[in-house]
Amino acid sequence: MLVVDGLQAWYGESQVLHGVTLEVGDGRVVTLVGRNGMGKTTALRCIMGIHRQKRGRILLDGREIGHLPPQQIARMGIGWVQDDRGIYGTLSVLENLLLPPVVSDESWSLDKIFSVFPVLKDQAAQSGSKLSGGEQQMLAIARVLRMGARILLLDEPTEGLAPLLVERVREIVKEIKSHGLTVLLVEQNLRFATTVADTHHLIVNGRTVRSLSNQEVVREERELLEYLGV
Amino acid sequence: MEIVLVQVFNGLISGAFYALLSLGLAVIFGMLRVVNFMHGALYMLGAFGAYLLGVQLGVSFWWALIISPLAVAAVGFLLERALLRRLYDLNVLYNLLLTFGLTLVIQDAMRLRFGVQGVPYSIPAQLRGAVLIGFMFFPTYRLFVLGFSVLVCLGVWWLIEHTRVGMIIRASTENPVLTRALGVDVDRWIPLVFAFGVALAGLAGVLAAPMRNVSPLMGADLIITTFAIVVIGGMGSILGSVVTGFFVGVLSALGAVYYPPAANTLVFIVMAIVLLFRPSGLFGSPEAG
Ligand SMILES: Nc1ncnc2c1ncn2[C@@H]1O[C@H](COP(=O)(O)OP(=O)(O)OP(=O)(O)O)[C@@H](O)[C@H]1O
Ligand SMILES: [Mg+2]
Repeated sequence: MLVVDGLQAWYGESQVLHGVTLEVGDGRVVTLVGRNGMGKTTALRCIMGIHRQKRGRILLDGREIGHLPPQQIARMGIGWVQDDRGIYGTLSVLENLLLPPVVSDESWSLDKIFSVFPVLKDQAAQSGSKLSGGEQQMLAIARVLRMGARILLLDEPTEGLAPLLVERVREIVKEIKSHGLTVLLVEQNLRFATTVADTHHLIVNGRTVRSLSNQEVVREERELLEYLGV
Repeated sequence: MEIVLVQVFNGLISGAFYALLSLGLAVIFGMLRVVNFMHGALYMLGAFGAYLLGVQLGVSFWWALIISPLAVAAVGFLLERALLRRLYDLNVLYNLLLTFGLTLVIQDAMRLRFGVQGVPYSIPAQLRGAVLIGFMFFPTYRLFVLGFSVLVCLGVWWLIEHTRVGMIIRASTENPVLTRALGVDVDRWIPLVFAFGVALAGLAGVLAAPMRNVSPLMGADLIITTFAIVVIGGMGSILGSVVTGFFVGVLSALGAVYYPPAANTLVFIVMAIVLLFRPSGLFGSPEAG
């Protein structure tokens, strides 16, 4: 279980997170939903140990991990899929998959990866930069599954994708969940979020203001959309 | 026509040194984001290493070609662990200044010990004389330097393209933050990559010993041109540094024939033009850097 408690973060003098609190239970899909610039990406970067100007608690299975460097956090089974997908153009698709070390028994074999993401098999020898946006998203997710992530941090995986591909990302998130893995999904798209997640955390101006079950979000969708301004 | 061919050949020889030096600089810059000003001084140490091994221990050129670069690598490794690594979190200028300072220290220490004149180092017996190719004679040793450095560049390229370490170097060059966040222990490779990069400088130094004067300042002029080459090729680009190294070697050699006053400036003119149109260099990608 991943718990973030009272997380604050700064860029130089300016504070952008004022108290992010969320709980991601094992095997669940949990979202952090909020508008542009509310601090979603920053929160993920704090969890990954990349952003260091922070205060507050980050616990993985009860253990404080806030002070650890990114490579150790990844090795504990947290897989980061960054907002621009972070596909290496100087590496082939296959190399992109093989770059992270295998960190747990949960690691997906290449066979399994290729059966779930057949496009990656067809393009394995291509440079990562040759892939389309949707394919890069698949690769970024597949890469941390290969690593053996137990918890995936997905930063707006549907951003800029055509409806058909959004559908595909939805299937993949469900597939990940069906394997017992855990997902923390950052989204602006509340509609998409409600089709895959169990619980939601709303973030406004760097503060998580409400935590809701999926039913509650579906029920209050109108007001919430207005509230979030998304 | 003949003079052009001769100059192209001579240019390729200078290019061979530029390529080896800028290759090392590029690998180091890519992985460490350090502009290693010491590179020329370590090239010089490589040449002196060969000289000292020969004079003091009677070690042949061939053994020196292996031992001296390894010794330079060891020096690089120690300097990285002792000094450079302390500055990674600061602006890149700090390490530029540090390596610049170390350059002065190394050069002056060598000057105190060996004077400015330099010391002689002779061409190994097997490589004396000249070879007739087509209608011209080429000095055997220079042909060897050219062939050997091309092989080394190809070898390094192969390492970087086809091994796991190479993959980590490429990934860290392109996106160091993400590479760490994917669980790769980048820091473990940093001193080794630095040592490897400076070993290439040491190797170039050994190759230079029999054909250039082995002197404390032999790396000082070379390094400025080499920096220009790295910038033209694209900071951190392996292919860019090698191709540009040979290209600039030939260009300067031809410049020396057609318009001697500009021979030394030519590379900087090229650099300015390239930067105008492609700020990240000929082979660089805008993201890396
Ligand atoms: N490198 C930076 N330096 C200074 N301020 C930054 C930096 N990165 C982000 N910010 C600021 O921090 C705030 C939160 O940004 P963040 O990227 O975390 O938001 P986000 O919710 O992910 O937004 P988006 O939906 O656009 O991805 C914004 O106001 C942004 O301008
Ligand atoms: Mg964001």
